[in-house]
This record gives sequence, C-alpha cells and structure tokens, in this order.
Amino acid sequence: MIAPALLSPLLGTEALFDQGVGWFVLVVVVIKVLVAFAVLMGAVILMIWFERKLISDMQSRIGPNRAGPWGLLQTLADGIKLFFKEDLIPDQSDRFVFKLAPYLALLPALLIFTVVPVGGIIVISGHPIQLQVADPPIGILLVLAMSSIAVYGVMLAGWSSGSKYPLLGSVRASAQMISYEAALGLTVVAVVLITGSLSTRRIVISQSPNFWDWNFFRLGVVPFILFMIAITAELTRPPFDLTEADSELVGGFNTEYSSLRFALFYLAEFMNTITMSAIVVTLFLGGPDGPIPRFIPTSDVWMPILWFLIKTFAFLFIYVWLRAALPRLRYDQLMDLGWKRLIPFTLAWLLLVAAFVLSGWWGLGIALAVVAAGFLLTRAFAVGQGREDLDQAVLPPIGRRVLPPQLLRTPPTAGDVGPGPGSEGAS
Amino acid sequence: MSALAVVTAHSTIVLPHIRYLAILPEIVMLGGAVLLLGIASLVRRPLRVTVSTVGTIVIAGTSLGLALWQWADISSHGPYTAIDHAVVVDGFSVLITITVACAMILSALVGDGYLRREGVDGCEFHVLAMVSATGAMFMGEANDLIIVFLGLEIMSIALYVLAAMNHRRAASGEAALKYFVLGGFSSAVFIYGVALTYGATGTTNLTQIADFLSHNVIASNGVLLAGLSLLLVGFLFKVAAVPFHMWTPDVYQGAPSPVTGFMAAVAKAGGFAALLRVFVSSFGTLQSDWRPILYAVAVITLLFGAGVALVQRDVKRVLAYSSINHAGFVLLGVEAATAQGVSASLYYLFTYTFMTIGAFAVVTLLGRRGDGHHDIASYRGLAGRQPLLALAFAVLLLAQAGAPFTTGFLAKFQVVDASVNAGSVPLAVIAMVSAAIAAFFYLRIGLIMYTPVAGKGFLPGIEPLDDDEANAGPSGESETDGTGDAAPAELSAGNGQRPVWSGTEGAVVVRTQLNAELLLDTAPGEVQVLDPSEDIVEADAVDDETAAESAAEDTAKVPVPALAALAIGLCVAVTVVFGVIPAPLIDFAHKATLLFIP
Amino acid sequence: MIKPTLVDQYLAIFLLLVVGVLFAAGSFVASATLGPKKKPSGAKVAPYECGIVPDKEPPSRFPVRFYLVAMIFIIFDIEIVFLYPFAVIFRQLGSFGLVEVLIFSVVVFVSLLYLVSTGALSWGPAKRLQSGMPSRTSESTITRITAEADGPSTHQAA
Repeated sequence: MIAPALLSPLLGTEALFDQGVGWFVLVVVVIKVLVAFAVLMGAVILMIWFERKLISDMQSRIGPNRAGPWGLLQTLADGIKLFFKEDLIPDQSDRFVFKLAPYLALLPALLIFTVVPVGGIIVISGHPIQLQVADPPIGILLVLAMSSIAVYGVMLAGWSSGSKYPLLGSVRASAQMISYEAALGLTVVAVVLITGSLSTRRIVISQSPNFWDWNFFRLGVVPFILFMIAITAELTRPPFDLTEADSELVGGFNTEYSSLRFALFYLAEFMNTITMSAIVVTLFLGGPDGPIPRFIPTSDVWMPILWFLIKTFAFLFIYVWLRAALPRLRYDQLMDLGWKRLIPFTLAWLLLVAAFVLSGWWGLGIALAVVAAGFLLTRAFAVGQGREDLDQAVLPPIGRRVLPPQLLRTPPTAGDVGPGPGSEGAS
Repeated sequence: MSALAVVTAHSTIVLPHIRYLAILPEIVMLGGAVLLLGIASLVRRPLRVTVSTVGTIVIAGTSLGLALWQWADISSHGPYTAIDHAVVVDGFSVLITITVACAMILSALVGDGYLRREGVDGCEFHVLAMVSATGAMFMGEANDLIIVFLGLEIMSIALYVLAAMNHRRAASGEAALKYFVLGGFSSAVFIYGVALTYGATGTTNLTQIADFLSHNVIASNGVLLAGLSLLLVGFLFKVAAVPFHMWTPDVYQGAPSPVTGFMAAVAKAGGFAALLRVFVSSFGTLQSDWRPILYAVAVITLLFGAGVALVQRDVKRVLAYSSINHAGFVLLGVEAATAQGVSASLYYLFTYTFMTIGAFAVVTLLGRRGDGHHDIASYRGLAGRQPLLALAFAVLLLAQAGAPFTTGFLAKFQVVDASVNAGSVPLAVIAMVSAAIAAFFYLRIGLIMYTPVAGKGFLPGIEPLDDDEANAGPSGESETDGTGDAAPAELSAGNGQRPVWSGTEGAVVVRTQLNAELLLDTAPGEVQVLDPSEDIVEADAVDDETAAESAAEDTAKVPVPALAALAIGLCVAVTVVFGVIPAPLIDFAHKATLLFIP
Repeated sequence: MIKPTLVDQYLAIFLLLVVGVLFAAGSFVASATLGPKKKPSGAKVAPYECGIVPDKEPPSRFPVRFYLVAMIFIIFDIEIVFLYPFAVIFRQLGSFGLVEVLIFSVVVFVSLLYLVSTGALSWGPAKRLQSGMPSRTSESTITRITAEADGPSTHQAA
C-alpha cells in the first residue's frame, strides 16, 4: 500500500485507485468508458449534422432537412447506408495496410478524449470519482502521442491505396501534420511550464479560482491563438484542408476507401475535431471551470459539465465558421506559416513566459533577446529569398522541371532550368 | 474532496556545481561552431571560405590555448574531476584536447584549399568539423560512460555528414551511408554495453566502477563481461580495428580527402582516449579478462592492415589500411595496460595526428579538381614535377613506416617497448613484423613518386625508356575498379628501370638496390601489358571525370595553396623535429600519464 | 485488495482502446454481412482517376523536400522532447534552468536560421523562373502533351 504522498508529485494519481483495483473501481471504470464512447459517438453524429446545417445556413442554403426533425437523423441515415455499400479494396493496394489504416485513424481520436476532464469529482459510497475517463500522470503527452499516431493512419491509408490522388494527399498530409506538430508541442510546453504538471486535471485545477487565471489570460492570449492555428492545421480542417483539397485531389488520402472504411475515416475526422476542441478548453479555458458555481471548491455536479459543454461547443462553432469563411491556403503558404512563423514565435513566447515567471528582469532581458532574434530571422528570410533568386538554394524550387526548349517563349539562359532533384517532382 | 489536495511538496533538485573552466575548450569549440553557422546564415552571399577558415583557426586556436592553460593549471594544482565527477581534467584529457585542437587547425588549413578548388562556398565543413572535434574532446575528458557515449555520438554524427560533404560525387554519399549505418549500429552496441555495465556495477561513473570492482568480487560476472565486450566492440569500431574495420577503406576512399585526414586523426584520438580511460582505469581489475581479447585483436589488426595494404592501388585505400595497421600499434599500448603503455599510446596518437593529416593533405592536393586522382600511378614522377611536395609526402610516409629520426619511429618503439615490458613479447614481435611489411607499401608509394614518368628521364642515372615502355607507362592512369584489389601492373614493362636514386634536396633516403619491378609488382607472372587505348575505354566506363581529364593533365603540376603548404609543412616539421629531438614530446606524454586520474 | 500501481491509471484508456477496436472490427463484420457479396468488377477495383483509365503507376518517388521536412521535424521534435521535462520542473530549477534552456534554444534557433537562409524551407515557386516560363495556355499544354508523346526523353517530369 503506497500512500499517495510518497508517490512523486510529478506523477499525478487518481484518487480512485488509491485502494487498488477492486470490483467497485472496475465497474466505475467500465461505466466511464462506455459512457464516454457512447457520448463521443452521439456527439460525432450531431456534429456532422451541425456542420452541414450551419454551413448551409451561412451559405443561404437549407441543408439536410428530410431525415428526422430539422434533418437531425441525416448522419445516422448516411451511416446506415454505408453499411450496405460494397466494400472495395483496390487491386493495387497493400491489403493489410489498407485494412489497418482506418483503425489507426479512429483509435487515436478516441483515446485522446480519455484525458479530458469533463467535470468535477463526485463521491459514491466513499469513493471519489473524477468525471474524466482517466487521469494518467502524463495526460498531455498522451494527447501529443496520439496526435502523432494519427499521422500514420492518414499516411498509410494514402500509401496503401496504390493510387495517385490518395498518395499525393497522404504525403501532403503527413508533411503538414508533422510541420504543425512541432508548433503544437511548443505551445503546450508553455502550458506545462506554468502548471508544472503534465496531468490534464492538474492543468485544469491550476487555472482556478478566477477566470483571469485561465491560461488564456495567464499566458497572454498569443499561445492560445498559436495553438488554435496549429490544431486547425493538425486536424486538416479548413483553411488547412490541403490533404483533401477536393478540387485537386478528389478526396485526398481516403479517395479509394468505400463503405464502412470510409465511414470510419469520416468518424475519426469529426471525433478529432470534438476532442481537440475539448483539449483547447482544457488547456486554455479552464476546462469545466465556470464563473457562476466555482468548479473548485464546488460540489456541484452538473454546472461544471455544462460549462465544459458550452465552451467546447463554442469551439466547434468556430471550426465550422472558419470553414465557411476562409479560402484554402496554398501549399507553400502553409509550410511557410508553420516553419517560418509559428515555430520561432512559439519558441520565443515560451521563453518569455518562462522568464516572466522567474522575474521581471529576466523577462525584460528575454524580451530584448527575442526582438533581436526576430531581426536576425527577418534577415535570414531575406538571405534565403535572395539565394533562391541567385540559384544557390539547397534544392531547386518545386515546380521547376525540364521543359523542351521550344515551349519556352523566351529562350532560357544557360543553367536556367537545369536537371536537378526538383525535376523529378511529382506533378 | 481531500483527494484533490494534490501533493505539492516538491522534492528539491540538487544541482551539481558546474565548473565551466573544466569544459571551457569544448565550450569555445562548440560555441564557435554555432556562432560561425549563425553568421554564415545572415550574410547574403554564402560565407567565403576565407572567413570560415580564419574563424575556425581562431576558435580552435583559442581552444588549444585554453587546453594549454588547463595543462599549466593541473601541472601546478593537480588533476581534478568536475560537474559531479562526470568529466575529468587530467594530463590525459588535456593531451587529447590538444591533439584534437591541433587536428582541427590543420584540417581547417587543408580544407581551405580543397573547398576553394571544388568551388564549395559556405561554412559547413568547418562547422561540422568543429562539432566533431568537440565530441572527440569530450571523449577524452569523460569520466562517465554516458559522457563517453555523448562524445562518441557528437563526434560520429558530424563525421557521417562530413563524409557526405562532396555531394557531387556518388562515392562520397556511399561512403557516408556505409559509415552511418555501421556507425549507428556500433553506437547501439556500445550503449547496450553501457546498460549492461550499469546493471552489473550500479553506476556509469568510471571512478565508481573502478571502486566497485576493486571492493567487490563478483562470483558470476557474466553480465559485466558481456557489457565489457560490447563496450569494446563499440570502441574498436570507432578506431577501425579488425574485425570491425570493414567500413574503413570504403569510407576513407569515398570521403573527401581533407575529411578523411580529419576522420583518421580525430576519430582515432577520441576512440582510443575513451578506450584507454574506460579499460585501463575502470576495468583495470579485470585485466585478465580483456587483455587476451585485445591481444588477439591487435595481432589480426596489425597483420591484416599491413597485408591488405600491399595490394591496393588507390592511395587513399592504402592509407586506410595503414590506419588500420596504426590502430593495431596503439592497441599494443592499450593491451599492455600499464602506465608506460598509456603513455606510449598517447604519444602515438599525438604524433599520428600530424602524420596522417599531413599525408592526407598531400593526397588532397594530388587528387586534383574533383578529388578523383588517387590512383597510385598518378603519383609517378611527382618528384620531378614538384620535388618539395614529393619530399614532404615521402617524409610523412616514412614516418608512418617508422623510419628513424621521425616521431613515427619513436611512437612504434614506445608501444613495442611497453608491450615487451608488459610481457607480451610475441605480440611485440608480430608488431615489428607488420611494421616491416607496412614499410614495403610506404616505400612503394615513395618509389613511384621518385620514378620518372616513362619517356621523360629527368633523374640522373635513369635511362630513358624506349617507346614500348613509354606507352606502357601511363597505363596506370586507368582508375581502379573500385575494389582496388587488382594486381598492380603499372610498371609492367619496367625492365629497363635502373635502381632508383632520389637525392633531391639531399634529405630523402630512398635508396634501394632493388629492381623496381621486383618491388612494385606482386609477381612476375601477373604482369600484364595493357594497351593504352583499352585503358581509356575502361576509364570511360568507370568514371566520366577521369575520362575527361587528359593524360597530359595527369602529369601537370598541381597547385599548392599556401595554407595547405603551411599545414603540410607543420606536419612535417613536427614529425621530423620531434623525431630528432624526442625529449619534449615524450616527456609531455609521460607527464600526461602521470597526471592521469585512475 | 490489490496493491495499487501507477499502471492502474491507464486501465480506462486500455479499456477504451479495446472498445474502439471491437467497434471498428464489429462494424467491418456488419458491413461485410450486410453489404453486397458479389465480386466487384475490374473497373471498381482499379485506382480511381476521375474516369481516366490509369496507364501509369503511381510515382514511387516524391520530391526530396518532403523527406527534408521529415528530417527537420525530427530536430524540432527532439527539442520539444527536451523541453517537456524542463517545463515540469522549471520552478525548482529556477534561473539555472532558464539559462540552460536559453542556450539550448539558441542552438536550435541558429539551426533554424541556417535552414531558412539556405532555402531548405522554401516551397514557393521560383520567382526568377516565372519570367522565363511561358504562361500556361491551352496551346502550350497541347504542345507539351504532343512533345511528351513524341519523345518522352525530352520531358522528364512524371
């Protein structure tokens, strides 16, 4: 029997397991899991409907309105329809990987939700039960790990299809997702830094008692904005939906999927949107914390859950709004934003936060250093652009390929378009 | 609700006192590399080679100066460990630091000319070399297996990239890939050895391991011995000892020549430094276990390196096998496991640095633009074209062969002496035999340099060859088939050759009564007269660059940049001066060993 | 009563994983049972290319930039890996930790500068090339396709 006090404070533990895993605990865990699963599934069905309906409202269309009241059952109908569709596996596909990919897409989406604190703590027959599926000590790392694994689902799906559009979509998707994962990870570090713990519940608790203690305000809004950008790109939602850019890539990585395999990708996508909204709420907006009945020390069960749902819903609305409002980025804009803007910015802000937590003087010093670094970076941009113009870039730019000279209206100068690695570029 | 009251009593973290002075040479080297990289990123044109070279020499010079200051410090105050005993500053580590810093300066000098010749702007060569040098310095200074591993990886990863520096040559990339895959594998083996050692002794600190082993007798030390042997494999790979030498010839041949010189010097210095410290100081009590292994490894390394080098035609491959042979000699000192052995090994490493970087500097120059002319035949008549260069190369090669009045002789003598004193007389005898075999291929290169290009008799005492022979002469220009195992046939028709005299500048003592054919060909039966036209076709197939070069260009003078000349001159000077006046360096190595913290 | 371990914390996650796998597998079984059983025609299992009969294999090689991005990502990912432990014990490390991370960040920042300045992160179309390139017209496309059909050696792009 290990007293919780003896466990390292770095390893947050859930009080439920203090007595070991008995029957009661097991039942509680099973109920939690089943409820979470059912709620997620229901939420996804509603979300798909909500998105379609909202988009159509924003575009002055009617949207789904046949199945059920206000078309509410449309998603369900679509899902049931997909059960009865032919399950095609393309000839040229790698069958095992092709079948594996939907699992890899769905499971991370599902598991991320486990660490989201939904409400406070209820006590049943002396056992404190956190309204959260699990509170592992490394909660936030699980989120990052799972979002990394989600890349595999997309990548393998496209690669195993043995077809061109999915392949292009998946290559784009994996490059995009790993690019923004770096920025994502760096923003989360700032949250961890101010909390001192990786446990999601600790992160939530540390954002009480006042709403200005929310990380949204404490960290100075910027990390929140950066995180929102990174997470939108990570979800490959508009305006970062280059992976399934319908006009160029048909449907992206899941073009060759049909029937229920396609449904699972769709499910995973929307589930990711929901869980990531919940993660944003957890990290930056105090999770289930709300202004009216305080989350801590309230013993109220329902109000925290309500606050959590309201906040999460707000983000879902924002995602749909973004989709309706913003055009898709070009690929080079996407990569530039990720690598050249977000990563330096998040790194700088992280150092600023750390310095200001320590002391004002440190903060001032770091602020000056950051400004100086900004100038250096601007200079480096200019140099990089200049070298590209001077044909001294490491790689020839994408899109430069050998064209027969008669096609060029102005004859190229010597060494203008030479064969190089870029000339093998897939069009 | 009480469960919510999470434990907030943070355990305090005890930070070790960090004595930055102990690692100042490394900090300067690494910081300088980062600074150089930063500056290079901010200027519109790629950094001129001059700036990189000057910067590197200043940084490495500062590092060298700091190492000398450390030397003075520990001479007066005694050696010490720092940063929670993770690094140690003693004579041994300072000597390695000095060696590596010297290697860095010399390589920067050599690399300058190479980069200009190949038209490579930018600071990558210098930055990576400095990072690699930092790793080697850490290996010398490490007092903890983790630090050894850290140094090993810092050194190796930079070297992998350096080997691929010349991205225009496919061989360079191939070399880098081979080095990377095998090196990564050996690193994994090494870290596994660290894990097992930790499991057996409960610590990774070298001093504590030694303490543990001297106070405990482990009844069944299987885990420890397994860890020990895995550590040994990791080290032997880095120093290119047989049977972990497979990468060496290909990598040495494929990597750009200045990189090869740097790699030969620094990787050996770092690898042997850590090997000596780990085995002699920490596992000293297990001598009876590891000495026989090293004995066997040393024997095959010595014989294999010397033997295979005999049949090579590519000079870089010859030098690669010769470096394997040298590794065998240093192993002699390690195997002795005595203070004398350590001292001899340190001396060997220090002097070998100058010999090998100098030799590869000459090879770099003679490689010509494209770094492709390394066939032994293209060295023919070098003495006639550029006597000073040939002289320098000859001196460096003779030093590697162990000729008297060079540091090479003293180095070989000392390790053999240490080995004899440690009771490994047969090993010492084998070492001397291998030195005799090795002398053969060093002399072979020397002889070819002092053999006139057929048809152009220029040395007194050598009669001009008739037409047939003149045709046969340049036949050696054909590139090797890559493996270099073909029987040399460049002097196929050398019957008319007279005993070679090379009295240029009156210093070189290459004077042999042997018939050139006897010396240069493996067996009379294998002599093939190649048709020159056939060769050109062959060369075409092998290498476009070579085909493009005319035969006339092959005999043209190579430009010798001033900095490269300076580097070669320094190497020769160190090799000869300290060969003639042995005392300072030997005392240096001896004192370094005395200041060694066991 | 079983002794509590830290692994218990992951029980729920594991259970949800099992539920998820069961759900996905069950769905596939249901789909296979409910869906049409007949063997799909050749056109259905052929790669989808908007109705064009595919005559070329999908490219097995990508632009090297994608690999480059993956490589560079590893650098930054490792940086992040180092930053997490620092963030957790930041308050205990105090200014020492900040200085150490500052040095670390400088090294990473310099490498970013290097990458940016060598153009390794530039994806944009080449500016100087645009002037020399023809504007794409239907005429030029037809010419290009014809040129491709005539001699594939003149046009390397897949």
